[in-house]
Amino acid sequence: MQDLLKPDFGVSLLTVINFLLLVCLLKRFVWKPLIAALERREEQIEQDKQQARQARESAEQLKAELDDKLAQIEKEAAKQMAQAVQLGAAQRDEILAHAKEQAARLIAQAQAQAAAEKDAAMAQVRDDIVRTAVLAAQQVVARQLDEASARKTVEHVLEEIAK
Amino acid sequence: MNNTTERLAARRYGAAYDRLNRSAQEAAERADALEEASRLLEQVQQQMKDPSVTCAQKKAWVHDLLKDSPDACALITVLLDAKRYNLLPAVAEEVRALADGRCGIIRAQVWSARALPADEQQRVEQVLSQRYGGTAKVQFYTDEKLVGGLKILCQGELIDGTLQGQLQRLAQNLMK
Repeated sequence: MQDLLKPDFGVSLLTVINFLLLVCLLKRFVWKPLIAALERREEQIEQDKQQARQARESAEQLKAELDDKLAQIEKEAAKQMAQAVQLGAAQRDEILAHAKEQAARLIAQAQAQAAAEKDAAMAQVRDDIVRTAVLAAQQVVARQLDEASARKTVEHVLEEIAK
Repeated sequence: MNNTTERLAARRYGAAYDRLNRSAQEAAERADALEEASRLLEQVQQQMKDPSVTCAQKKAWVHDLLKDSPDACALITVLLDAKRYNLLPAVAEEVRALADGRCGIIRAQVWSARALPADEQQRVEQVLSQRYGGTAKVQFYTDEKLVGGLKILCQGELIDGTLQGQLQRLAQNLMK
């Protein structure tokens, strides 16, 4: 047992050689691939990060473009809305003016027609009165015209013709 | 007479017939003869205007009815040949007008409300003769509606001297 606890140069040397051999083997077959894998992974991560940045930049650019387009659309919509309102107001004014003009014309026509009908009615009444008066005068003259007067009227006509 | 063409045609036939006359007397006689012929043919008017009757038959009737008026018979035969028999009254009127012109006769129609006595009729003829320069031959008619005065139609001129006319003119003036 005591022998086991005593340092043995050979064992120690062998242990060191084993250790160094182990280190060499690890370096040869484990460390390098591990490092290469870690480097590849790091590159991959870096690439992914780069792509993510690019994607983010693209997205931000797209968002900016969309925001710009949206602003333009809103501006255009507002402009068209204003134009529509303006056009509607103009059309409303035009329709109102046309309606007023038509109403004025209809009123003028109605007034003219009423005046014409009134004049025609008055003329008709006047003509009827004149006709009745002339007919009455004719009958009175016919009743009162005696032979002497009749001769006189004939003679008067002949005198007028002879002139 | 319903159109100017027929009137012009009647005028040409009348003028041709009038050229046969050598004096006013002949013109008056031929006009009388043509009027008499026209009056006689009124008896067969329907047959004369019937298109189913031949021209020869119509001519035969004319010759039969107008034995004593050879000139009138000849004129009517010409009218039948030319298919212008319907112009006969107008031609007779034209011939009468031409004869009147040769004889210096003025024809007039006079309407009055009452029948004019002879002295007034003479006065009318005298006044019209003076006015139109010729011998006035007047046909008198009565129309009570005229009330008084005279209406005279002479040489296309209408003179309305009636009381009815005066009242109508007054009414027209009032109605203006």
